[in-house]
Amino acid sequence: MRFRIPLTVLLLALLGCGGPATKQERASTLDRIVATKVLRVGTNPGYAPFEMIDTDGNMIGFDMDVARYVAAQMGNGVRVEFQTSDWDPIIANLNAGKFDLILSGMTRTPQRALRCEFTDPYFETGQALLVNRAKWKSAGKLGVKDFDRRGVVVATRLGTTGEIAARKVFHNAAIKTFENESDAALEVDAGRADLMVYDQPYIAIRAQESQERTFAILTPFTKEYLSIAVKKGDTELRDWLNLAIFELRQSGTWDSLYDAWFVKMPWRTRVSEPKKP
Amino acid sequence: MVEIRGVSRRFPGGHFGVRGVTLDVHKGETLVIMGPSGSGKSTLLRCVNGLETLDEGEIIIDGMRVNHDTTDWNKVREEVGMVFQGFHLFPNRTALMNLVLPQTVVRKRPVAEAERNARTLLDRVGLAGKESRYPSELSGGEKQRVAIARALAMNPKIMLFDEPTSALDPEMILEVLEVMRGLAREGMTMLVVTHEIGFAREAAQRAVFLDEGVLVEAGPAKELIDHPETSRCRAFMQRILRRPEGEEGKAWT
Amino acid sequence: MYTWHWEQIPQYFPLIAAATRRTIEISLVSIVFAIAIGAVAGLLRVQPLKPLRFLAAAYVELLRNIPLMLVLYLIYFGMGAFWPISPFWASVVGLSIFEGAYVAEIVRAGIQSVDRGQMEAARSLGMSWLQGMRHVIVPQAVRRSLPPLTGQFVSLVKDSSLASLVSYEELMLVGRQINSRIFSPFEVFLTIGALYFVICLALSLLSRWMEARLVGP
Repeated sequence: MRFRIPLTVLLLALLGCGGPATKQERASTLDRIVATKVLRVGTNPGYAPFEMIDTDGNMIGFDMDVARYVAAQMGNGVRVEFQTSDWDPIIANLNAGKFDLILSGMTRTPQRALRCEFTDPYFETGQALLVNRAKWKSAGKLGVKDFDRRGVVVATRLGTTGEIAARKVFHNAAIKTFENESDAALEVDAGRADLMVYDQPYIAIRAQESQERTFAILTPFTKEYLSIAVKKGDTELRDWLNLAIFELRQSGTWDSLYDAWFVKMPWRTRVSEPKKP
Repeated sequence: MVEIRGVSRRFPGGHFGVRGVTLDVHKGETLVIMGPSGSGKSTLLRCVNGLETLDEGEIIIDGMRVNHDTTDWNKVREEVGMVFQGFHLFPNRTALMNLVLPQTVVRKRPVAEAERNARTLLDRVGLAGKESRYPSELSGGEKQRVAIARALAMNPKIMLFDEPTSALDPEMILEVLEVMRGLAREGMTMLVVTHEIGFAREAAQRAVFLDEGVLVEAGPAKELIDHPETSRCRAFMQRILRRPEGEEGKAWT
Repeated sequence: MYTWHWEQIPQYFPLIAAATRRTIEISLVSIVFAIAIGAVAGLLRVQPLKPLRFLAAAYVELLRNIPLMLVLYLIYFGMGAFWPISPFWASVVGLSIFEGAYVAEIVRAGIQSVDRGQMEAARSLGMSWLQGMRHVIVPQAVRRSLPPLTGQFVSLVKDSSLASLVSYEELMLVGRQINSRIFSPFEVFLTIGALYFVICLALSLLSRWMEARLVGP
């Protein structure tokens, strides 16, 4: 009896404390990033030339440079910390707070947008095909539909728009899904699959690497917009990123990055030993 | 029937299990092997049916040399039956099937004949009516009698007994010794390792005394037991016969 | 906060059913092969000929000291480069030889756990080593081996999830595919988990029934 009143007061005080505390939780991610000076970027390396691991084990790529640009725009000495994630749970990891945003050559889709927020696109591309040379050498002008026959095997990567596009387009061919893009490409290389469906930039580079065994059909058959993803509900960060992306293009930085990663490609030697002709 | 000549068996540690033992077992004879534990009695017995290999010497069973590398021990063992201290009945088979199995598998007898033999033998050892019991449902004495019957099912020329009653409760020793005595009376050649002095005295023709792998004394059973010549044998007999009531020496009253 | 979306799952029932069937298929076939391989290897480890014993021991040691995932990769991606093999058969071969090594150890332990006197009694009756094994030792060993073998086969069912890495559309892969579309990991993987649980439980119950039916007290 003696403790009941003081206890109740204590409880109410604690509840009261809940008020300001919750307000702090709802304080913006953006502010927190700037205050802590760390921008955590979730990515899944392997998609050349957006994010790759070089021979020294460092992560390099178009997306890495975009991330650094974004961090620079935040000022206050914010630096980037890259966090690798498996591809299929990457959005779940984002929502779980493992990183602040996803910069990983990710295509903006309505289904994905049910679970996260997408910025405006920072890159446009589409799905292309990597084809096994031995099986299709007498090809001629081939289109995607030409491959949709029984007996044809299409390799894709689990959880990507490439897989989704393949399922939309191929009804007779068999579809195999793999853990990562290099396994899928290896299927084509080894002749266990006729073709692979993936983003055009990757296909272009991969076809060059295995010219004797594969060739690429680079005309994209879908239109895809790569965007940055942030946690569901975090509209403030998303809106700020949109501004940053706009600046990226306006300032000419986008063009020089494109030049470096897609045209001149000096990074090629960093990623693998130059192949003997 | 069995000639054991200068047989030695060395154990992996280096020491000798048996050393230079020479012994003859005549046809129809019951010979008892006695001695303190570790004296090599079991080892010697197991050399006779090949469970132990010889390092020196030779054994001749019914005219056949059996320590030779090319000996087909399986064939030899068809003629040499063995009864173990631990019975070793096949637990997942009935008493009857324990006797039928070796006959059908080894002697290749038809099942019907094997079963008939089995029933006869089980009856002979006093277990008629217990054919479909599993070993876990039998007492120690019953198990050992089944084991004896199983060895007999092969119609062996010689029976070896390795301390057949040492693992039995005292009240069951009698029934087993009774069966063995019956066998001896029928003229089976038997080589028995045992501490049962009473049996040795009454049912065996000859006895030998082993100590530390060496055959110390041999002679007619009664003589060896009542009037041992060597001091070691005498000391052993005294120790055995002085044991409390209910043990050896009282078995045959 | 996590919002539940169970209503998204039923549309995928046909896909999940097919995947379940495939998991059961691949597990059963692998179990059969694993038993065959393991029984032979286990027996070879206890028989009298030294070179065969060594061979079996080498096989067991090798497969027990490398990860199953590695074995699957070696077979599907490695060997598959010059000897084409389907995801199904690559997984079956991988699972069989991998689990077979563990089965071999269980078989060996089972045989060695049978009292030495049993073999001595069998040999004393004139049976050859092979006859002794066949009529006396192995039947007893099988009885004792059943519980650990069941455990191993339940492991096999769970390990079959690795077939997803070589694009075989069993439960795990299909689960991940569905999740990559609806982004509801709890709902998806709880469902998949429940299915694995049911399959493994059924296997355990089957084994217990078999144990009870074995002849003998």
